[in-house]
Amino acid sequence: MNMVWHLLWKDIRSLRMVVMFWLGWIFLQTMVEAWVPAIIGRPVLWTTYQMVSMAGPILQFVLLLVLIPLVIHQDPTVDARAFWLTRPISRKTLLVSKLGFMGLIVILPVLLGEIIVLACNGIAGRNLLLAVPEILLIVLCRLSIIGVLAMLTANFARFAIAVVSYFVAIKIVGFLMSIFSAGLFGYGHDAADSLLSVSMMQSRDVVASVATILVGCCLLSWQYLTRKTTVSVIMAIMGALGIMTLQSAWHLDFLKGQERAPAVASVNPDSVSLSIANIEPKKTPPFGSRKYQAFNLAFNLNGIPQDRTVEVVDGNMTFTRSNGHSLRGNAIGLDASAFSLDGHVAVNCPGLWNAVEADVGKFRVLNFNPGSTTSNMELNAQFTTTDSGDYAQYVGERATVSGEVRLNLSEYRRAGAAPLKTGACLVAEASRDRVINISCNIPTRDILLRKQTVSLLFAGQEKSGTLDNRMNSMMRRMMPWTDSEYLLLNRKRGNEVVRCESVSPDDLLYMMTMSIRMWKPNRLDYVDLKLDFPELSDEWLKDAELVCFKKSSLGSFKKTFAMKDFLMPKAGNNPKGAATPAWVGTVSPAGNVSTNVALDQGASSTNQ
Amino acid sequence: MNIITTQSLTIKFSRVVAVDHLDLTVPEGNIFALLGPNGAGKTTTIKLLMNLIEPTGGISEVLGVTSGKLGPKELAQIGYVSENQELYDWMTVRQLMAFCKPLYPTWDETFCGKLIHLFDLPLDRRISNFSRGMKIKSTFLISLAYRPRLLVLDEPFTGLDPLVRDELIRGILELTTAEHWTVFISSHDLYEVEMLADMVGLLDRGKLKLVEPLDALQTRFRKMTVTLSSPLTRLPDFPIAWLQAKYENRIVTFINSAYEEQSVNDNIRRIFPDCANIEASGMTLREIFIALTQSYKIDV
Repeated sequence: MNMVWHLLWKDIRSLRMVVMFWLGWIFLQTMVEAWVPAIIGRPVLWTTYQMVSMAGPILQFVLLLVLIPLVIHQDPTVDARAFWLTRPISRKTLLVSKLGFMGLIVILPVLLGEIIVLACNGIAGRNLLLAVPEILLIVLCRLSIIGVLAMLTANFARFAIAVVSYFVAIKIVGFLMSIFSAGLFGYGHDAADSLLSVSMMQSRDVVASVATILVGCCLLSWQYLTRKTTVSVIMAIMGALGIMTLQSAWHLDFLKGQERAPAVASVNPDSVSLSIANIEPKKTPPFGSRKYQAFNLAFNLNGIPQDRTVEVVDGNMTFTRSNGHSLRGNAIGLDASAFSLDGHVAVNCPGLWNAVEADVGKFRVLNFNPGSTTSNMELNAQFTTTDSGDYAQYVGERATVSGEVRLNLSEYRRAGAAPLKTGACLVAEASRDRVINISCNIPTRDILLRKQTVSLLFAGQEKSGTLDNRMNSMMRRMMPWTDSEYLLLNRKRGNEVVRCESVSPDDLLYMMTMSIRMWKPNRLDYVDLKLDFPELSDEWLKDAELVCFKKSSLGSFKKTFAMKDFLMPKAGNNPKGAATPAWVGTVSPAGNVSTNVALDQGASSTNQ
Repeated sequence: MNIITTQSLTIKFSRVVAVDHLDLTVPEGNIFALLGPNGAGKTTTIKLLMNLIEPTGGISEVLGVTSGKLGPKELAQIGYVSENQELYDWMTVRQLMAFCKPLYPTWDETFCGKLIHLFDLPLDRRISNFSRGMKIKSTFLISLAYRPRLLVLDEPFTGLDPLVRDELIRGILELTTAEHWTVFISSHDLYEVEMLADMVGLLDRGKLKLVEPLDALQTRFRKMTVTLSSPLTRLPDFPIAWLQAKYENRIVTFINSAYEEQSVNDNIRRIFPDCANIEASGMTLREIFIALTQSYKIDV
């Protein structure tokens, strides 16, 4: 033990400047992430914070790329000139000292920093403990890769070449794998990835990270104990290929939220009817290949209880032509709720409004007009052909469309609330949203709320969150608002409600934050429902509170759909006279609006 | 007891055989010099002995332990000085000593003090600011201070100025005599080796051509000058042991690699019946080395 400490102390002394810089940066990053957001009020400071916040993980990674090779190259294993080789220093002792350095100087400060950041963002108890393996997974994975590359090189110049070679090789292998899977399965590797659910991708990332750590540890031990560099290099290459294969082939989604029992208790699937409202090919083929065609499908859905929300989980469809040949497609991993502003359909989200009513009583929605009844919903789904056949050659032919969709039934529940003021923290399960800045630009009627979210990979939420607002955010996959709805509620004004809709694309650049924005009503112009969105004055905002509703799944059921005599159109060109349903008019008329009193009030208010 | 033993030790780099079936023994207490031209495989042999690289065949033992299994216990008894060795050059000599001291149970502080005095090193200057000679001295310092049983020196004098060389050699000689150490040295500096070595081995293109006590070698090798009564027109056939024969008018010179006064004189008189005078002069190790390496080249 003394010898381990002796060697470890030698490394620390040798690299004291880099170590001090590293620890200083971790400290600064921790301070910035933990306390600065709570005290920033002015947008300009917020932008500065975001820049620092964005630069943090990058600089941290760069420092790791410097620190780890430096400590390993103090006593290289691949160079016969190394001092330690002819001194009475056992290989095991040296290995333990290097690991000790990584543990003491790299892992421990990062872990402590992350925990402080989480604690300052309101994460405590079980969730804080659950964050530990997540943080370790990220740091150890990076350390394993950098450590192995450093170990197999004699100096920093060679290490730099190895790092570049590694990333180039990973890209080339990934590309080759996509070609291989395209030949084997009919779609590209990237395409296949994009069809995976978020939790599955996260599961794969976790598996790949664990495998990387294991392989890295084995390689480090092997090389330090044997110094058989050629074998180590071969093992490293094999290990990297093995990890990539394992990641691609992994199909156990252990991060998936618990599947509830089939939703028959909440809804009788037989009483739900589903029909196609529209099929529209997208102009741009997915994955850059004309062989694959994406379609926007809009469904009419009847028979869903008012307090429930439905979304398409996945599905498949087949175009069967008169000669019997068919073209298959599927849809998978659609996490959007039934409500959509982005496509051509504007429908209501009855489950949400029902939950709001249950929470606050009668209310009035200021910025939305329920576009459809709660019992007659519309769903959007995007299907993609999976056969390698070229859709373009069938354009103009008539076909029968048939398929099946799996529908997820969910309900909204109030998850938390906070007064709408800077610094307020909205606690909702494992996430903590801190209101950073509120701006109300009256001419455009936009309200911008900056928020921070801390979500935990292993926190056992139904939908696994991201590592947002974290010092290490390697596994950022899913935006955390997909299962959350934010409303502004003003009780003093008779329960006036404004639904917050996110997110503008620019906000994606600010990795640590998201914005909540009140959309201008003219976004709904295309359905000819011009709303009179009232002014949200400072006084109104002063009295408002931010309420979060979280969606939880109640289970799923399947429904089939069919359409005969479908004329297969060109992308973006719906042919007239074919069986393709007309687009305009799919939104139900105002007369069929929900019987929900509150919604009626909102609608009448806005129509005045 | 043999401190170093190799049996059929071989290493190949791609197609090049750097060390070719080397059989060698170095008894305890000897100063063994491994000589050879550039690329002969001297440094490679030392690397194999010290387990810095792995052999492709054969075995080597150091201090009775297979080189591949040399551990801290054995390394604590070996002092290694090489021109190629990297030091922690961010340290000062004092820091380097402080780092090395806990590694060696036999570290002798008093002896270390003597060595510091002998080598006259600035203790508080960074090694990175040292000249080559000072770096080598520092390496010597931390390789001798624990009184190693075996001292392995790989080209330790290369690039050093004569003053430093003399200092080092004098120091090593004093210490090895006093401490009864075994020294295994590879060097180009034949003058220094001649001062140090008890035994020499000559390596050429990975093969050990010769192993012999230095005294015996120098006794065996003689530079012969034969004066004839009449000019020579053609060299007659010589015995194999006569190397680098030349003639000019009435003078014939050659190196006798198996000198034994009576038999050589008899041979000369038989081959040169009109021999008027025979002179045999001693040779330095340098002259022997050159004669041998040239004769090996001619052999090839």
